[in-house]
Amino acid sequence: MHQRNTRAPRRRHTCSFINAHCPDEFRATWCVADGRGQWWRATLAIVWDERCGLLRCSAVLPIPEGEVRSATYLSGARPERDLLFISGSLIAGFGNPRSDVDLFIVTDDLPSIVASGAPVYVSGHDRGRLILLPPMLPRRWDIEYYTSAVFRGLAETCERVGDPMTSPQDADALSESDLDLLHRLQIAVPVNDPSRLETLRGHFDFARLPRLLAERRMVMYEASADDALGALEGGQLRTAVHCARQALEYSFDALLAASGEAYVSMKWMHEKAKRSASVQPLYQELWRLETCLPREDGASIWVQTVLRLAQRCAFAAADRLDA
Amino acid sequence: MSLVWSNDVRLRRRASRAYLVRGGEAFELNEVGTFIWQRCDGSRNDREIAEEVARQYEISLDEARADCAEYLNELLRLGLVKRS
Repeated sequence: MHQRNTRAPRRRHTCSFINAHCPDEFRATWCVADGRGQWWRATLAIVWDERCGLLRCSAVLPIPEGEVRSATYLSGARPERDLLFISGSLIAGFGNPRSDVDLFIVTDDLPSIVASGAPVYVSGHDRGRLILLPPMLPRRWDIEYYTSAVFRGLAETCERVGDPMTSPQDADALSESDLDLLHRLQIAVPVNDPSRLETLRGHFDFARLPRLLAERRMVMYEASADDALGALEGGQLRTAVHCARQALEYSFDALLAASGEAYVSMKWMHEKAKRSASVQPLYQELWRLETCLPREDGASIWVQTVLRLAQRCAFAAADRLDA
Repeated sequence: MSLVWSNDVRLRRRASRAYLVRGGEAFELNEVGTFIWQRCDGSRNDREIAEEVARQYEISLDEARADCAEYLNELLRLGLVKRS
């Protein structure tokens, strides 16, 4: 005789994706039923960072499965045809309750998505964007569309680009937004087809991203440091303060990148610093200086102190890139 | 007095070589030179740098002092470091 189970269903964990691309990195996404008919998508990322000897572990804020389905529907994408993945700060472990979700759609039929009525803003022939805001969804969803030609082009550029340390002329071959897109692809969580996402990832050597980003930041640091010195010499103290602060942030971000942090957006610099033990001494000095802005009569000394710290960060970054 | 890098000098590494770059000038550093240069961060004086060189390269303190004095004088003369 069968006994009917009248209790709410127990939580069920289904591991739907394991990233086997990098042996030092484990990412798992699973769906969890909360017993009230609601499905949640959660991601756990465990990364062994050899450079700083840290085991980084981040459990990303769960995104309700129903919300993913709604966003997919509103995007006009067709999961049986297009590749969909989620990335961004939530997946990187930096997110907060107000963070948006970045949904990426790789399609070879952008025109049919536009024709379907989704209000996609198309830029060029190979990419588009749609932003969904509350109350349409509980939070902002930033949906980005790319044709697979965009990724083919990026793969070709990556093949061509040499090591920026020995071929500085190649430092600009990949733009800031290219590096950002590649890193988002690296950390992405699939929505519909893990094997297809893995195939796409297989076209890129992600280990080079931090180095490319570090070199880019070093160039920006040097430009800002020169601007700060020029402003100081010209008596433009407030401009000197502004540029020195920029120089410090660029050089510290170069150090973070040289330590393996390839997340491009500068707004997460402090969160990136938190999880890298080896940069803490310099980070503590940066924080102290950035939270102690000078009065005008002390600006010159402050600028020089900041530029000296920026130099130390840049030297440390150069050392790590050289290692 | 401690030694500190001049603000307009950048350390660049290309193909495992280190260079100090200032405007259009570049100065190549060898391994010991890089070691000394990196310690001119405003927190050490000549004596402290020489002590670290002696420890790192297992040479006598007198030898390290003499070598560092010569090298640091050259860096000061070129304006690549200054006293603070």
